Amino acid sequence: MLFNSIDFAVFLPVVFVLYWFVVNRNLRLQNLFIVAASYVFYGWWDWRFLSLILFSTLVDYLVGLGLGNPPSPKLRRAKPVTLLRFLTKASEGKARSLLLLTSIVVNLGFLGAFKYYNFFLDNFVAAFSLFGRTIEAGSLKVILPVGISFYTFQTLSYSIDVYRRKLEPTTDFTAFAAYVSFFPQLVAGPIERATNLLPQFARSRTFSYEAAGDGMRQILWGLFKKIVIADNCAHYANLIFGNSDAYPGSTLLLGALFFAFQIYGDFSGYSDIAIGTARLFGFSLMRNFAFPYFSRDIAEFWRRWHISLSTWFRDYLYIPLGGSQSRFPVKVRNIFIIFIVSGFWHGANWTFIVWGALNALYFLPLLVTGNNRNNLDIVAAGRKLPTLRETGAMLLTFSLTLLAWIFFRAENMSHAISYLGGIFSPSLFTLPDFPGMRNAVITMLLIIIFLSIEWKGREHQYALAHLGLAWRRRSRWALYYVIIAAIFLFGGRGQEFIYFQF
Amino acid sequence: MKRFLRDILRFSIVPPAVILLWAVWNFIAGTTVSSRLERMAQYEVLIMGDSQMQRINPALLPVPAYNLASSAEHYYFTLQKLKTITSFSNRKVKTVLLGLSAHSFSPVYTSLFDPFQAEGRQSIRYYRHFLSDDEFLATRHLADIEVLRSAVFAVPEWGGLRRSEAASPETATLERIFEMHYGGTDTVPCASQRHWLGEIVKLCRSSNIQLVLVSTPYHPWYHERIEPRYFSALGEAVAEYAGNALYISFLNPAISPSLMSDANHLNAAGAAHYTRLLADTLFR
Repeated sequence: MLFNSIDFAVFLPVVFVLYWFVVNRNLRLQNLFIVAASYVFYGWWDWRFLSLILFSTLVDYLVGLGLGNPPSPKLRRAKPVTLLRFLTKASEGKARSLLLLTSIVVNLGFLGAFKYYNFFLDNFVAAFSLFGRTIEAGSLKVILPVGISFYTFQTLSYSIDVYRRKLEPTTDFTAFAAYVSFFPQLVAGPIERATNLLPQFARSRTFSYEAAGDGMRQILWGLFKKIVIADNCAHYANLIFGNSDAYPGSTLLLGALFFAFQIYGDFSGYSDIAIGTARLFGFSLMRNFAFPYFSRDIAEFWRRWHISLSTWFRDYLYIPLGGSQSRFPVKVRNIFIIFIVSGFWHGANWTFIVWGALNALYFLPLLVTGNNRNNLDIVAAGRKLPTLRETGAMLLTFSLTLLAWIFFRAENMSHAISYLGGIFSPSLFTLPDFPGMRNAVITMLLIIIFLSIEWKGREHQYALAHLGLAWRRRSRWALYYVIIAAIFLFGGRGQEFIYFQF
Repeated sequence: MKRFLRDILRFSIVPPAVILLWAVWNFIAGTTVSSRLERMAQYEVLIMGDSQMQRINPALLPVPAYNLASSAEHYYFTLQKLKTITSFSNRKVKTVLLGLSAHSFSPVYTSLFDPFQAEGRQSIRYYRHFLSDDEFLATRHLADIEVLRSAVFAVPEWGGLRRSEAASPETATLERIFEMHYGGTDTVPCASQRHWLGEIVKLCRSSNIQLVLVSTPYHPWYHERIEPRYFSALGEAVAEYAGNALYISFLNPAISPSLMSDANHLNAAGAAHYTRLLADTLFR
C-alpha cells in the first residue's frame, strides 16, 4: 500500500479509529491489532511475502530468547544456549555466537537470495568468461520483496543488541512482531533500533493532542515533498536520463538536479509520512533526514542523510571494524567498507557500489585532515542567511553529491560515464532544451519555494514543525489549506517510492 | 482525543465546501452544454471534426448550418456530441459534414485519446462535459492526480468557425505542425480514430442523418511529406464506409499555398473557395 494512494487514505483513518476506540483498553490487543493492520498493509502489495516477515520475526524472536542471560523465564526449561552447548560441545560464548550467526544467516540469506543472487551469478559468469571459460548458470526469476532490506536490518539490530547485552530480549511475541512489522516504517524505514522502538510496544500508549497534531503536520509536509517535489522532478529526471544521448550537457546537468530533488523529496517525504503516522498512534520514530542539502561538507551530509541507515552501519559495522580508533590505514579501509557496503545495500548493481566508493573518496580528505567532525551544528543557526563561506561550502557539497547521484540513477556504469561525459562537454554552456521545458520551469520554481521553507525550518525536526505555530488558528489552517491546494494543483503523476526497490 | 477529532472535523469542513461549490458549478456547466447542443440540433447541417473543418463557413451554405468542429477533436468526442444531439426529439439535423483526412490517423490522435498523456488530458479538459459514457475517462483513471486535475478544471470547448488571413506560410511553421502530427516515436496510424468513426457512421445511419466525410486540402509541402501509410488508412476508412457515407475530397498536392494559413488549415480565401465548392457539390 502506498502512502500517497486512495487505499492508504481509507486504511489510515479506519486503523486510527479502531486503534484508539476499540482495542485501546488492552495493550496486548492493541499490539496484536498493529500486527494485523501491518500485515494487511504489507499484504496489499503481495500477501505471499508475509511469510518472509513472519519467518524472520520467528527466527529473531527465538534467537533473542536464546541469547537472553539468564535465559528468559519462558525458556528456562529448554535453555537453548545450554542445549546448543550440549549439541555442539561449544563454550557458552561460542553457543551465543552460533545463535547470532543463525539470525545473520537467515536475514542476510533472504537478502542474498532475493536481492543479490543474480548479481553475484552474473559477475561470476562474467569473471569466468574473462579467462575464456563459459559456464552455464541459471538466474533466479524472483521479484524483490518490498522493504526486505529495511525489516531484515531492523530484526538484525535486535539480535545483535541482545547478543551484545545492550538489550533484554522480549518474551512478548506480539510486541516483537509489531516491532518488526510496524506498518508506518515497514517498507522504507526509518530502520528502527529495538532499543528505541521495542520498549514503546511494552508501554501503554496515551493519546496526545500535540503529538497527533504534529504527526498530521509532518504527514502533510511529507505528502508535499513526495507529490509536488519528487513526482514532478521524477518526470523530468526520467525523461532526461532515459534519453541522455540526445541532450546537451546543460540539460543533463538539469536532469541530475531534478534527480537530486526527486530522491530527496521521495525518500525524506516517505520518512516524514512514516514518522507522522507513527505519532498518530503514540509512537516516536527516529529522525531520518535533517536537511541534508544544507550540509557544509560530505561528513555533515552523511550525518543528515538517511540517518537510520548511516547509524546502523556505524554501530554494527564501522565500530566493530575498529571505527576511528584504529591506525590510519585501517580507518581508511573502514571508511571505504561502510560506504561501499552502504552503496551495495541500495541495490545489486555496480553503479551503487561506485556511488558508495565515490562518497568514501569525498569523505577521505576530511578524515585525513581531521575535519570530518567540523560541522556538527546547524548551518547559520539563529541567523536568517548563511555567510558567503557557508553558502560556498553548501554549494560545493551539493555539487559533489549531485555528481554522485548520477551513478545512483544511471542504468549501468557505461550509462553513468556517458552521462558524465555529456555534462563535461562544451554543450554544458548552451541553454537546456527538452520537451516540456516550460513546465519544468514551474517545477524549478516549486523547488525554490520548497528550499525556502526547508531553510526557514532547518532548526526543527522537519520544515513545517514550527511554521505558523505562533499564528492564529485561522492563519495557520489557511497555510495548511494552501499546501493541500498546492498538492492538488501542482502534484505530479503518482510514482512509486524509490526506496521501495531497496 | 475529542479535541483532536473535533479539530479534524472542523478542518475538514473547507474541502467538502469547495467540492460542493465545484459540484454546483459542474452541474451548471453540464446543463449549459445540454441546452446549447439542443440549440445546435435545430440546424439542418452540422459541421463537425477537427480544426480543419473549423474553416468551413456555415453562412456560405444554402441551408441553416452550424459549425461546431473543434481543434484536435478525436472522433470519440465527436460521437459524444452527436449522441446528445441525436437524443433530442425536436432535432432538425439532416446532414453532418465531418472532417476526415490522412492526418486524422496521425499518431497525435492516439495521444489525444490517452488520458495519461498531455494531449489526452487536454481532451479531458475540453470534452469532459460532453461525455456520456466512461470509455475514455473511467473512474479508475481519476486516481491519477493529473487526470483528476484535468477533469476538475474542465471547461467545455465549443470550437466553431475560425478565420485566418495568413497566407503562404513559412517552412518553419509547416515543419512545426508536421512535427506535432508525426514527430513522435509512434508511427502507427491511429486505430481508435477508425473505430470511433465507425460508431459515428452507425449512429448517423440509425438516426437518419446523412454523413458526409470531407477532406480539405493540405499545403503542398505538408502533403508530400505525409507517409503513404496515413493515406492508406484514409483510403481504407473511406472504402469501408462508402456504403453509408458520402466522401468529398479536396486533397490536391498542387494547391496554391496562398490559400493556406499553415500546413493543414485553409485561410479565409481558401475557406471561402472550398466552402462554395462544397455547397455546389452537395446542394446544387
